[in-house]
Amino acid sequence: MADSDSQLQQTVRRRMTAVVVLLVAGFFVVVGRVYYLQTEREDELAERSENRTERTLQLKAGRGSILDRNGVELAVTTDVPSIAAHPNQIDDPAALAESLAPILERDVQDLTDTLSSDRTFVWLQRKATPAVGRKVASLDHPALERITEPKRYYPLGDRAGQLLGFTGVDNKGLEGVERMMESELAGESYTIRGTRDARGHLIFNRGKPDLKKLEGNTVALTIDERIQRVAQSALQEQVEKYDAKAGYAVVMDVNSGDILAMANTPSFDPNRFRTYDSKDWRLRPITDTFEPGSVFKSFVVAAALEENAISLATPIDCEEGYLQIGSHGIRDTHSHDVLNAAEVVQKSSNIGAYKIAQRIGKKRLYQYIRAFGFGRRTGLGLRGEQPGLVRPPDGWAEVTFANIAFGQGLTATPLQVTRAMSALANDGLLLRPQIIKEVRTPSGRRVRRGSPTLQRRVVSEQTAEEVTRALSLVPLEEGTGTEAALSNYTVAGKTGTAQKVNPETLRYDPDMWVASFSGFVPAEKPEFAISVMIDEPEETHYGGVVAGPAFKEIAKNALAARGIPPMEQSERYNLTKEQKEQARWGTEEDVREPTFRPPAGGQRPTAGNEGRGKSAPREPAVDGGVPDFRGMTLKQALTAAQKLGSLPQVEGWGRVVSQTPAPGRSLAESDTLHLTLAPRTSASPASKQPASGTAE
Amino acid sequence: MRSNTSKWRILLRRIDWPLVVIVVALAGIGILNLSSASQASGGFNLHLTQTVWFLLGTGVVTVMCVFDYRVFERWAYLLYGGVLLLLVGVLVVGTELNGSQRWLNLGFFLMQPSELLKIGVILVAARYFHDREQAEPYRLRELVLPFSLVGAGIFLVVQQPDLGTSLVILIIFMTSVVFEGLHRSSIAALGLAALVAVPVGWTWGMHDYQRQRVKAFVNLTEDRYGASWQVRQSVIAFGSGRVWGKGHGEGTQIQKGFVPEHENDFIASNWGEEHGFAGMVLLLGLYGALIGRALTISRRARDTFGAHIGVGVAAFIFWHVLVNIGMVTGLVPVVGLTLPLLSYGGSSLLTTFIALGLLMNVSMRARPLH
Repeated sequence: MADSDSQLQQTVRRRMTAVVVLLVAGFFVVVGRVYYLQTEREDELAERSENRTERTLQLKAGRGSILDRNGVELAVTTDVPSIAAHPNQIDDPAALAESLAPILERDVQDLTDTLSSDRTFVWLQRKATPAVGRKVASLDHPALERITEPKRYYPLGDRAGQLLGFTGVDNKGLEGVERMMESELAGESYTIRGTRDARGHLIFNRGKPDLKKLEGNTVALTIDERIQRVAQSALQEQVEKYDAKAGYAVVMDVNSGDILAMANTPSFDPNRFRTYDSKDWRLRPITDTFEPGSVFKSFVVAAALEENAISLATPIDCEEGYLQIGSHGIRDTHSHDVLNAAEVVQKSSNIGAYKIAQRIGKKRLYQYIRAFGFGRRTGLGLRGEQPGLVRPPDGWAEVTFANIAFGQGLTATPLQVTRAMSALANDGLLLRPQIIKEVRTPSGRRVRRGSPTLQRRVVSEQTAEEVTRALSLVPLEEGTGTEAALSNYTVAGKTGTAQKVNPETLRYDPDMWVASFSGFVPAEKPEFAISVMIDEPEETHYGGVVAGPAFKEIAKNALAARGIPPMEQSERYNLTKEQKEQARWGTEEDVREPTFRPPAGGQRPTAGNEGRGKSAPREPAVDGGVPDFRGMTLKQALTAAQKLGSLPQVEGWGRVVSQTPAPGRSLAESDTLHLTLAPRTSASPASKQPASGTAE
Repeated sequence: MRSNTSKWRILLRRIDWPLVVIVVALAGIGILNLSSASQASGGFNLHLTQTVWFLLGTGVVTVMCVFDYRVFERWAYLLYGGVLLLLVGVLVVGTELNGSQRWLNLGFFLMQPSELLKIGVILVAARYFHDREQAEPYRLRELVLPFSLVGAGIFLVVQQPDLGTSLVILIIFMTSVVFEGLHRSSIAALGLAALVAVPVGWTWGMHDYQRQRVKAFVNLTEDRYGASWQVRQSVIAFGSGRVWGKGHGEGTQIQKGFVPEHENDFIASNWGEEHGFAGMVLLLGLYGALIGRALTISRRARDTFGAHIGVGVAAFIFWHVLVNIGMVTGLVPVVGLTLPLLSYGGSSLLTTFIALGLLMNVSMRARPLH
């Protein structure tokens, strides 16, 4: 009994041992696994946990604004919503796509595919309009997300579009000033730490840094938005009138080298840069070169005068309009017998120009051409600037020499021509053209300032004045540039009617011309050098006829905009009787009614209601209606419009003086908000009559 | 009357305090852990609900201890039959959730009869081996009756389908069999049967989602967002807890919602992330102590039935802990087993308490009361 009992006990003990061994072994496995995960692989796994949950976001603070020389905002940064989705959290992609498609204006099927992916995050629309953002928000779908992103906005649309350039989706400058000044404009990068939960929602641990301090610098250009505007519209008008391929204009302040306007048509709106062909992005006044044509005679005559080879009175035999050079002949448009040097310029004789050039020889002419800045880049700083082509004189055949004397057989950019012209206007001093007026930090400290940079003296003061006098004859009755004449200012300038080489035949094409007018005003005390080139006009191609009116328009408005008064009659060049008769102080035509007046939506205000717009009581926004923008600055108006969900179309500068729709009216979904801005006070005569907010 | 009062006194004196301390410690950890996990579950106060379940569980244990456990010996087969009927009922009128039909809706409570089957199997095995009292190892043919009974239960659970529960029931039963001893030839035969069963089961016995889980387990790192997501996140939670853990309520993996089912089957990853390896050693140590206590009670039991209940409950706790921790640490495929006393949920908790009540009962009555 005891035996069997102990045997049973032994059996029980053995079984127990078996079970305990089994259990202990199992426990070792589990503890071992936990040990392995938590003490051997812990670094790797902890890192993965942090990668998944801890997010550091590299963000850039807002990009600095680009202003014109008077502080008008040409490029600003505004916050817009970007729409994103988390497809893995969407139960019914088709239904969501159905409701989203009309908002985002996307194809339903395409959207369904996007939303059906198993990704955790997709962008649906970057930088949408605030209105789209609000509609998406009203769907209140948990898988949709709106992320605020800065967007570059060019309130003046196509004004100086090619010059400003544009930025890409990441707000990096890709073209124009945006690219050139990237390092100044770009906001500083900053990092924010946040944690992301399994659904991808970000929760920021700490507040954002003081973003204002990190914002990019503000760049003020030398451009005067008003002159730019006139340049663009005047070009547009001439290009349309003569069915031309393109037009180019440059306005330069002769005393400082500041570029006041640089325009080319067709124009370009950087807000919609993707809708344009990339060739329309180019700032052609610096990227494209032309044979300058007769405009170039100004510099040839200047060189000969400087070398004392001629005086303005030197008689030149113009060979009755035809001169044989070897197997080639050169001719004049109108045949002349003998002209003095001044008349060669006035009547634009090719033969005369050649004969004048012969007096100083190829080598010295070449030196002057280079001294005027041809054949090398101006150093403006913008990408894509061309140097133009000027061949060295040892290779010039005699006929090439003759061609160069009247501006064929070499190429130059419109900017180079303008700059050389401004050297004649500036007592023979060649300045470096500049586009940047100043750069300021967000706190307003000026960190860079453009100042006039003298490159060299090209001709003496006396020579410059003599050429100016000759150029002043061009717009007169007997000259080629009568269309450029202004009634109260003396215009000095030169027409150009250059033949163009047909890129297919590589010969001068009798139907391809570049009509130009380049000069400066007022001749006695020059302020602006202006060049206008109309590329391949139809019907007529004479520079005076085709480009002259645009020059006149730009000159007239530039003078008014900068408040340059007409000169006392006694100080003006006493040129002709007609001029004397016309000269009166401040006629309605030139001063009081400049074309850049703010379009106030129709009626001009009378003196009695001046300032009515600004004193009108501010109407609160009526339910669903647009608020009263009047009196706001552009920035304030943009902020207010953003709340409304609309990006306004803006005209003018200064403060808002009128708006459509009127305050309190509803902004129908398709309608855009138009705002008209005008300065309250300004030195220019035009701006003394600010438009009132009477627009209906 | 007098003898009745003395019976109560004796019973009170015989309360197994080590067992009580261990269980209370585990329950405390469970509530603490849920209070952190419920922050991630949208602010439901799961730990408070769980406390109520614990109090109910205490009541269950008390009631279970009133009767001599040999009552269960007498009624073992009948109780088992009742559980089988409930399981049939589940298949006929059960409530379906997430694609499987496992619950009976009692109006106030969703009962999961497969949980009761675990207790039933422990009782049936105990009864069967108690009746035999055989010193020699068993041969397979001598185990036809318990195998068919358990097999019937498992078959019904597989139909729900609930592979995890059926496997754990089988393995609890097998532990009891091993405790009794198995003849060598029988071990060989069972091994062979298992070898055949695996491919057959894979092809015909398993549902797609089950195959998916096993596949996901094998290719843990390849399938980034699919079935293995949960396990990968859980493994990351464990690893990032390191030795001392991130602190109570600081577990980012759980708090940010990366681990689905974190209050239920994956509750251990919350503990592991917030309390690290140290916390896991404490937790597993407590489970080890609980199992050790169950085996001690088994050894001291006055009869084979009591000894088998001790072993059965030890196996119950052990296999749940082993499979659950193995599953959340990526050691075994996800089969859907709770972690006793830590996972949120009534059914599992009540079953655990019934098992613990049986254990306490056996411990109290290791010697005659008089």
